[in-house]
Amino acid sequence: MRLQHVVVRQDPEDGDTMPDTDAPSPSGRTPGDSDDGRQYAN
Amino acid sequence: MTVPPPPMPSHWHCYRWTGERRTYDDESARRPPHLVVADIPPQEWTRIAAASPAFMASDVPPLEVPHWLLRPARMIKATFEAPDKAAAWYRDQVGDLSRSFLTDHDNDSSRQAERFAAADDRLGWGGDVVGGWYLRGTGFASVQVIACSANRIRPTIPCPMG
Repeated sequence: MRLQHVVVRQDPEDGDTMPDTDAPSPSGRTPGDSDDGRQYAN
Repeated sequence: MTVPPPPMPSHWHCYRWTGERRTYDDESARRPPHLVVADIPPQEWTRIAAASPAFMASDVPPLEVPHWLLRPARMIKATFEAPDKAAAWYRDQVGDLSRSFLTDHDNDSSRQAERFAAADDRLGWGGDVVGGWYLRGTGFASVQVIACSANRIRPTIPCPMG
């Protein structure tokens, strides 16, 4: 069985793992979407 | 000679915050370190914001409304290109929060209707909308819709989404 090694970068400030790029989640940043799940078609 | 009106913003970013009143009253993390009184280039805005990690990390509404745009994009709750959709989001947020409003005055339906009509009007000409309410207990809520690209008050602040 082949082992896969995943390297993640730990942000010392929040304790959560972070991707290498600060890519925002789609919620709230996609036009027409709200972070509470509502959708408003543009 | 008439001056042409400024162009409409290309979109609006929406923000929402609820928390303790004493947190809202602490202004130290609600402003970047330098007072800016004139339009400065976008890269200067970025530099000023980066010089204040406490301001950038805070999600408490900034003292100056367009300064929301200086903060990271992860703080954005919604983004709209059409002002009527931004207005609908604002109404929905206020509706969700109204159950917790402290005063009957804020819950008055005619007052809310006036507030929503004013928000529709402001968004219609490209402005920002700001609402704040005391909540039952010791809380405070803020819902803000900020014009971007370009903001009327601070037209040189770059879009937080790049």
